[in-house]
Amino acid sequence: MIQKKKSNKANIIFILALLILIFVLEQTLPSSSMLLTVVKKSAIYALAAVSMNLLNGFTGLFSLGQAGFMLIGAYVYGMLTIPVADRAAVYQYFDGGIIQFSIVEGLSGVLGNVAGLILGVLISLIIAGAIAGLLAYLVGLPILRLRGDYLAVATLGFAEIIRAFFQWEALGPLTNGSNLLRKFTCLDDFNIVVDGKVAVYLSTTVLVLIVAACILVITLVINSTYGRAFKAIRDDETAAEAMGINLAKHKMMSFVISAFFAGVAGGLLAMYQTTAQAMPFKSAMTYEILLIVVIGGIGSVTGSCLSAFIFIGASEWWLRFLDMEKYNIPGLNILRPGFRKVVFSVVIMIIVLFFRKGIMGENELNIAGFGRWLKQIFTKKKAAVAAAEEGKNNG
Amino acid sequence: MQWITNNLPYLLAGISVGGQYALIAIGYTMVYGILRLINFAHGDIFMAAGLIMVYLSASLPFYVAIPLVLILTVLLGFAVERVAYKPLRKAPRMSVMISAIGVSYLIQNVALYITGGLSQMYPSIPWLSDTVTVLGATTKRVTIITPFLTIILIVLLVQLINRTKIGMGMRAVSKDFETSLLMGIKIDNVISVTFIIGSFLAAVGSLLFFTNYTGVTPTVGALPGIKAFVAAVFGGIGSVPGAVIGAFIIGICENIIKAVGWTVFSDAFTFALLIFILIFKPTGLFGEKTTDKV
Amino acid sequence: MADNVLRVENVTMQFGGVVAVNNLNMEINKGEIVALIGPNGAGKTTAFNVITGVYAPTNGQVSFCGKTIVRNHPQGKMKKLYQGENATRYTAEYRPEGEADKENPDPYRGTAHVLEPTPDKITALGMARTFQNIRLWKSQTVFDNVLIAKHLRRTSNLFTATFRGNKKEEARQREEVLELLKIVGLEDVKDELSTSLPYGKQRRLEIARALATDPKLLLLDEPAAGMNPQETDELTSFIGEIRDQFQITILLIEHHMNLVMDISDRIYVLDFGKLIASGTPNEIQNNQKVIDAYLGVEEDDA
Repeated sequence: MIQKKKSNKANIIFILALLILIFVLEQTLPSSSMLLTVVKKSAIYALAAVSMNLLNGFTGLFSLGQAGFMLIGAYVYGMLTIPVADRAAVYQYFDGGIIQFSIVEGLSGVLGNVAGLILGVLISLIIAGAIAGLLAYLVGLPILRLRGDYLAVATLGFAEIIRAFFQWEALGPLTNGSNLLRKFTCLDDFNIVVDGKVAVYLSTTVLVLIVAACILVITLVINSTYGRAFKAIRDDETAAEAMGINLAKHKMMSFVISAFFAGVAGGLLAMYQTTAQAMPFKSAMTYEILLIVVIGGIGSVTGSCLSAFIFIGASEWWLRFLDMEKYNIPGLNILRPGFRKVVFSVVIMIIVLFFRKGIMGENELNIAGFGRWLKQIFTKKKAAVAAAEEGKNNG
Repeated sequence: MQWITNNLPYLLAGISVGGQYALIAIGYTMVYGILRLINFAHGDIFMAAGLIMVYLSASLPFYVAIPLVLILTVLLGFAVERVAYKPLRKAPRMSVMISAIGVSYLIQNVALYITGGLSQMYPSIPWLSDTVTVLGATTKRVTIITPFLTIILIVLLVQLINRTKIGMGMRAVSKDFETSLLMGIKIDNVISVTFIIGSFLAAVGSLLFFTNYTGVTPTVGALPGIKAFVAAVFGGIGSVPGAVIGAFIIGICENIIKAVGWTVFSDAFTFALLIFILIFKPTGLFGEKTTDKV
Repeated sequence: MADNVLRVENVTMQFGGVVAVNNLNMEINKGEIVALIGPNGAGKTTAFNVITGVYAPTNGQVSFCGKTIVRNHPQGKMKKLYQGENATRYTAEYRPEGEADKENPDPYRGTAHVLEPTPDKITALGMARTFQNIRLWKSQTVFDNVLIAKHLRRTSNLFTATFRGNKKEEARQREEVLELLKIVGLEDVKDELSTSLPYGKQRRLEIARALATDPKLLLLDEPAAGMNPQETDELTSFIGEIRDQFQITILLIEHHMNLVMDISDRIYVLDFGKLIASGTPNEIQNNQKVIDAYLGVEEDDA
C-alpha cells in the first residue's frame, strides 16, 4: 500500500512538471513551432485513444465508431460557441442558422470575459461530450449485444450514418450542411493579450490541462470497482455475469463514457483546427486512433499517451523528410510526397505482427517504477565496475 | 411500364453494380466463413486490381494485360494472407482484424504514393465499354454483360465448392476449423485457395466496375468494399448465394434511391440496412446460428 | 417449507431436437450438501445452467428460497418440437389441483407468465456457482478475482465510485476479501496472477470467488476434476468446512465417487437427461438402475 501511495505521488509530480515544461516551452518557442503543434495534436489524439482504450482495451468491446462521436463533439462545441454577431456570416446559406446564442458570450456578459471564457468553454465541452454520450446510449441499446466483429461493423456503420447526417443540407440551419463551421471559440482565445500583442501564451497549456484532467477521470474509472468489472467482462463475460455483473448495463456504461470523452476530444480538435467539417471524420480517423491504441498497448493508459505522441510526432514531423525530394540519394528517387505514409504503414504492420503487445502491453508506465529501474541499472553498473576492479587487483 | 422505361438506366445500373458488388462480396463471405475474419483489405485489393490495369494497359495490349491483372491480383491476395493473416492464426480475433485494417491502410498509402494522389483514368476496354441500346435506354455493354458473367462465375464457384475435393475442404473448415485440422485437411491450402478465388473474383469485378466508373483513386475501394461486406452479412455471412442476393438487392436499392432523388443517402442506406439486419436477424437471410458452450 | 432453498420443478431443456434434461425434479433444503451425478453427457451441467439462468428451460420452473425465479413453457417453434412431459403445466391452460398446491402457493400457477432472468440477477438473490472448465479472470490477480465478485454488493454508483466517495465501502470489501482468502488458504499468493496458480489452487480460488458474492446456495461444477486422491480428500473436508463456516447449502456435480459418497447428504442421479434415482449415498450405491447406468447393462446370453 505504501508503495502505491508513493508511486501515485511521483506520478502527480511528474505530470505537474510536464505541465510547467509545456508552459515554459510555449513562451519561448515561436507559436508555429512543430513541437508545439505535435504536443497539441498528440494531446487530443491521446484523449481519443484513451477513450477508445477504455472501451476496446479494458472492456473488450471492439467498437469502430470513435470518429462518429468525435464528430458530434466537434460540431456541438462549435455550434454552441460561435459569437452571435458572426452567425450570419458562418451560416450564410441558412439565414444565420437556428442557434442564436453563444454560451461563452452569454457567460462573459454575466461573469466577465475571463470567467466567461473558461466556464463557457468547459460547459460547451461537457455538453458536446454529453450529446455524444446520449447518442451512444441510443446506438448502444440495440447493438451492444452483438458479437465482436459484428459490433465493430455496426459501430462503423453508425459512424458513417452520423457523418451523412452532418452533411445533409436539410439540417443546414443547425449544422451548416456541407459547409465549414468556423469562428467559434478556439485555443488561441486563451492567450493573454496586452495592447494588441500576446503577453502570455496559454493555448497549449490549457489544452494539455483539459486533456490531463479528462485522462485522470478515465483512469479513476478504470481503477474503481466499475473498472474492475469492465476488465472482468473483457476477460470472461460468462464468469462476470455469473458473479453478478449485469452485462448490458456495464457494457453500456463503458460505451457511453468512451463516447463522452471522444466527444470532448472532438470539441478540442475543433478548438485546435479552428474549423469543423464532417468530411475528415471518416473511418480512417478511427483506424488511426485504433492503431495508436494498439501501438501503445491495448489496456494501457500511459501506453496510449506515449504512443499518441510518437505516432503524431512521426507522421507530422520526424518522418517529414521522407516526403521531400531534396533528401534523395542521387540515383535512388524514392522520396516524394506519400512515401512517409508508406514507411509509416509498414512500421505499423511490423508492430501489429511482431509486437502485438505494443509498447506497454497491459502495464502502466510508473514514474517511481521507472526511477527504480534506472537506479537498478546504475547500481548494477557500479557493482560490475567494482567487481572488475577487484579482479584486476587480484589478478 | 412507363416507370420502368423512365428509370431503366437506374435499374440497369443497379443490376450491373449489384453484380460487381456480388463478385467482391463473395471474397468477404468465403474468408469470413473459414477464418471468421472480416478482411478489411479486400476492398483495397479490388482497387489495386484497377490500378494495376491502368499501368499495365499503358504499355501492353489488352489480351496480355487482362490475364496479367487477374494473375497479379491473385498473387497480391495470396501474399496478404501469407504475410499478414497466417502468422496471427492463433491470436485473438481482434489482433487479426487490426492486421487487416493495417494492410488496408498500407495498400491505400502505397497506391497514394504511386499515383501521387491523382485520380487515374481506367482504360476503355474495347467491346466492354461500347455503347448499346436496351429498351430505349443507352448504356455501356458492360452493364448488360455483368449480371450474366456474375451468374456464370457463381455457378462455377458453387460447383467447385460442392463437387471438388478442395471445395469439400472449404466446407469442412468453415463448419469446424479445429476438427478439420485434426482430420488432416491441409488448412493452409484451403485458406490459400479461398483467398485466391476471392481475389480472382474481385479482379473480375474491378474490370467490370471501372469500365463503368472510370476514376481510380486510392480510396475508391473502401465504399464498394463495405457495401459488398454488408451484402455478405445481409445474405448470411458464410453463404455464397446469400452474398450474391444481398449484393444485387443493395445495388438495385441504391440506384432506386438515386432515381428518387435522395442521392445523399444512397450510401447511408447501405449502413442502415446493415444495422437493421444486425439487430433483427444477425445471421442474415441464409446464415446459421451457433451457440456457445458454457 | 421454510427450510427449502431450491426447488427444481419439471425442468426440461431441449436444444432443437435433442432433449438434454428431461423433466427434472429436485429439492434442496437449508444446510444440505446434495450431489448431482451421472455419466458424462447426462445433462448435469445443463441443469446447472438452467438453475443459474444461463439457459431458459424449454419447460418448467425453478424456485429459490420459496420464490419462483425461472419459469418457461414451450413457445413458437418449440411447441411442435417439444418431446418432454408437462407441456401445459406452466401455461394458462393448467388448472391447479386442490389441496396439493395449498402447501406450495405459487403466484404464477395457471398463468403463461415467463421468467427468464439473466444470471447476474439470480446471483444477486444469493446463488453462486463455479464452472466445469475454470473461468478465472486471467489478467487479474488472485485478490482482484475475489474482489470483483464483491462488485454486485456495492452501494456506490458510477460517480461516487469514480470520485472515490466510496472509500469506506471499498476498504471494507477489501478486508472481507482478505478474510476470505485466509479461510481458503490463498492469502500468501494474493498478489499473484490468477493463471500462475497451480490447478488445485485455481479451483479453490474459483470457490472463494463464488463465496465472495455472499451466497445462500453454492453450486460447484466438478470441483474435484483433475485432482489426485490426496487433493480430493482435502477438498472433501474443505467443502464440509465451508458449509459449516458460512452456513450455506451446497449442490455439486461430481464424478469422484469417494468425494460424493463421503460428503453428500443426498444424491440425485441423471442418465440421458432423466432422473433415474435419488436418495442417500447408501441407497444410491445399492440402486441397480444406477449401477446399470454407469457400468452398462449386460446383454442376455442367446
